[in-house]
Amino acid sequence: MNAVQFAGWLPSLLEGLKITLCASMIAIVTSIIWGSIVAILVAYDYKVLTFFMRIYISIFRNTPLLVIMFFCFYGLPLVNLEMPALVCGILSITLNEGAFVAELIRGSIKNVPAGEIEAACSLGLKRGKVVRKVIFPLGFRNAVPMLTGQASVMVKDTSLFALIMIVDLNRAGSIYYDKYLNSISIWIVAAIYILIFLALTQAGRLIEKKMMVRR
Amino acid sequence: MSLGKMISFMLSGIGITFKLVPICIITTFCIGMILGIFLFRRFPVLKQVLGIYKVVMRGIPAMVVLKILYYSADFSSAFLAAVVSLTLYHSAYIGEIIRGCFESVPKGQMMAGQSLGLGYWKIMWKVYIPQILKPMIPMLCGQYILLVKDTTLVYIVGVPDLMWKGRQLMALTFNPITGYLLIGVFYYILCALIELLARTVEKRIVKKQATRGLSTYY
Repeated sequence: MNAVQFAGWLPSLLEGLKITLCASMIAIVTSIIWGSIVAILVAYDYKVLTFFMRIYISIFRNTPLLVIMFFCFYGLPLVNLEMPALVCGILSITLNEGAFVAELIRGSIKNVPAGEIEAACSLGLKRGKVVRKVIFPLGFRNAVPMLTGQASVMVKDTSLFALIMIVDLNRAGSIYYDKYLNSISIWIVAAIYILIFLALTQAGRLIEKKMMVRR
Repeated sequence: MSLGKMISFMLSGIGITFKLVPICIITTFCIGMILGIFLFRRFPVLKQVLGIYKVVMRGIPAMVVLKILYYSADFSSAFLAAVVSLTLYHSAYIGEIIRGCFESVPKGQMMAGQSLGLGYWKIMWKVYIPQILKPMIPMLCGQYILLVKDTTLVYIVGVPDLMWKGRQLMALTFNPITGYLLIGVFYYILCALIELLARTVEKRIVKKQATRGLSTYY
């Protein structure tokens, strides 16, 4: 890899890095919000609603993200639901990872001590309010360490954007390879992914600490 | 193209997926088991090396691992590259799962084994592994479902698996909705099968250990 080639490639690398960082930030926020909504709906324990949410979770946990992404990107325009590729990618990550996040939060909701729920009920709170004010906040707080782990998975999921015509970090590596048949660019991209992962784990640790202190 | 024809066209790619998944499950389990034991034992230098390996594999997306291996190393076939990269990628996670299971066995068991005069590997084989078999299975099942889902990526290096056939079909029929729905249904069934298998194996292990009178810690 000589300097001229590298200088020519650098702009697309930076562009890709920007897209990956922005898209993964948005995807992390939207999937945690969507997953929380699903978890709350499951926790409400209305028969039909919970049933549908269970089906949703089961479907999106067991189908590959790539298939969902291609379905959104190639399939939906045929039924006049055209959207930009980036929206498409973030939507499919949200749908897919939302199911995982919902499952994580549901798991930690199960571990909320029964005494807390009974206390809330005995204070005269209604079912909905108990879920929203007591069960969900407690469950969410317990799920934070797992959610920060899941966030790094979401960053990795954005690497699939390369396959739906978005120039993200992964695609930027391929651009150089396609031009000069030199795989060093992919090694550089991999190193950047590792740095993002390390930064994310540090951020996750900080968040966990903050949540612990508040207890 | 009729639906039946579409399905039969796609099923021609199923063979590769059905070959890839069991091979990867076996290799990741073997390597993950060895990794788990090494991580649990904490050899001085190996510990740091494995720590770096773990961070690297958890940081890089599976697709980038696949690309690095396929483009930098000289593999005789794309299929081999796919197997090696998926194995490398998922072994890190499985090693971590198995280490966690080993850690959850109380330390007194190791001391008890030592006081009976058993060697380290004998304690592992006779005391630790029988106890972790049951709690390990649900976690491994989750990881293997992720592995099955990651096998959709191998088409980018030209392995003609189900996804590859699906994309060919899309180019032929211009009907991505049905095509990708079919692929989704197939992967859903495959993952459901793995879950079913895991449950059956778990039940059998419990039954076998109960008949032997081996009461598990859990």
